[in-house]
Amino acid sequence: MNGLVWKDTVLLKNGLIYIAVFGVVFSVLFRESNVMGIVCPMLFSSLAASSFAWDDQCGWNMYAVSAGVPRRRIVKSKFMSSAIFVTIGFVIGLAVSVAMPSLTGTETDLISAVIVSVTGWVLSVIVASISILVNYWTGSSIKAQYISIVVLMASIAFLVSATIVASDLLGGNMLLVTAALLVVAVLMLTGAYEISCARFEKRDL
Amino acid sequence: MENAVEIRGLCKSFGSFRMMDIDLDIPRGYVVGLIGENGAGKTTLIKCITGANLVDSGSITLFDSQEGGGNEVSVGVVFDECHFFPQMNGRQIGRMMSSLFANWDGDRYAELMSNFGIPLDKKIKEYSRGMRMRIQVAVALSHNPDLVIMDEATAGMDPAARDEFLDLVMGYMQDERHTVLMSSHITSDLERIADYIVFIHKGRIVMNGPKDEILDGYGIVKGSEPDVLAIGMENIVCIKRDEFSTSALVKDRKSVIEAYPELVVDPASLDDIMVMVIRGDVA
Repeated sequence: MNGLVWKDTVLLKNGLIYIAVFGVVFSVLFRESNVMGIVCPMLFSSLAASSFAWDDQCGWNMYAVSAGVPRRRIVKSKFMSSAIFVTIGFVIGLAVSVAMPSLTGTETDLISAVIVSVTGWVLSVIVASISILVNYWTGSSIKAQYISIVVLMASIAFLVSATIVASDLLGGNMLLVTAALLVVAVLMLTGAYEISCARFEKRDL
Repeated sequence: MENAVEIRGLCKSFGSFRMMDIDLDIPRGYVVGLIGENGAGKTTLIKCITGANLVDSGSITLFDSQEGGGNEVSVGVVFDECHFFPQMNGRQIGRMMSSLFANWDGDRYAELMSNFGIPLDKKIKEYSRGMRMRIQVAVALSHNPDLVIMDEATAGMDPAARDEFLDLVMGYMQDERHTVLMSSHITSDLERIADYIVFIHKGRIVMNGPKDEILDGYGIVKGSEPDVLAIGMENIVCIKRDEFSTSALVKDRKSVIEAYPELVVDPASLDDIMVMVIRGDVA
C-alpha cells in the first residue's frame, strides 16, 4: 500500500506545492491568519479527487487489480493519501496562523490557532472522506464528476454551517465542538471506507 | 497435469455481448495462445481471470487458490495499452512496483530496462509505443510471477521487436513452473511459441487443444461445391462459399486425403482456421 500512497503523492506533487504557495500568499496578502487553519487543510482535501482523475485517465485500477493488488488495498490507499494531504495542509495552515501575527505586529494566540487548525483538520478529513466516497459511488464519467463537485460543495457548506451552529449551542467552546467533529470524522471515515470498498468490489474495471 | 487456471461454467455479459458456459483449463508450465476475432471475448475472458471483471456465474481458480484476482498468486500482466502514469519515469515505476509485489526484484527490473534500452530517468510520456510495451514486460517479469497474462502484447510491434519479445517469453518459460496465457491476432507468433491454442468465437470456446495436434489435423478442402460436400458433413467443421469455389475446414485432413485423393487438401494455419470459422457456415 505504501507504493500506492507514494504514487498519489508523486502525481500530485505539483498540486501540493501550488496549494501551499497559494495558502501562504493568500494569508500574507489579506493578512488572514487563523482562517488559514481551516482553509489550508480544506484545500488539500480536494486533492483526493485529483488522484482519482489520474487513475481513471490511465486505467490504473484495471492494471493494478489485474496484477493482483487487492481492491480494498487500493481503497485504503486513497484514504491514507488524503489523510497525508490534509495533514500537510494542517501543518502549513498552523504555521501560517502562528507566523502571520508576528509579521503584522500583533500578538499570537497560539492556543486559538491550534484549536482552529485541529478543527480545520477534522473538517477536512470529513470532506475528504465524502469526496472519496462520492468518487467510488458515482464512478468516473463526466456526469459523475459534476455530481461529485456538487455533493462536495454542499458537504462543505453544511459542515461549516453545522460547526458554527454547534459552536453557538456549546457556548463558543471550540474544544467541545472539535471533539464532537472528531467523533463525526471517525464515523464518517469508517462508513465511507466500508461503502467505498463495497462499491469498488462490485465494479467491472 | 496441474492446472494454473481452472474455469468452470463461466458466464459474463456486457449489454448485448454474452460469454456463456466457458470451461477451460490452462495447464501449468505451458504457453496457451488465445485467439479470436475482435469482440470475441478474449479480453473479457482475461479480465475475468485477473479479477478486473466480475463474473456473472461460474468459478475461476488460480493454482488452487482464490478466484481470479490473484490475491495469493503472483500474476504478471501485459496489455496492449500502457496503464502507467505518463509523468512518471521508469525508476519511479520500479519504486512503486517494489512495494506492490512481495517478490519484486529491482536488479532484474533494472537489467531488463537496460537490455530494452530504456533509460530509467525517461518519462513514460516520452516513450515510443514499443518502449511502453517493453516497460510493461519488464515489470511483469520482475517479480517472478507464477502466471504471465498478455493481452495483445505484440500489437503494434515491428517484427524485430516481436522476435525479441517472443525470445523473452521463451526465456521465462525455461522455468517449468511458469505459465503464459497470451492473446494475439498475430497467429504466427502463437504458432511459434504456444503449446496450446484456445479459439474463442462470439463468447464461446470453439476449439481448444494442443497446437501441434491442431496444425497437424486441420485442413482446408477446396474445390467445387459437389466435390467438397462429397466428403460428408460429418467430416466438415465449416464451409465457406466464394463466387468461384467452395472451401471446407476439416478436422482430420489425413483421413480426408486418404479417402479422397483427388481432392485438394491443404494444411490449415491458425489464420485459415479463424477465417473459416468466422466467415464460414457451420456444418
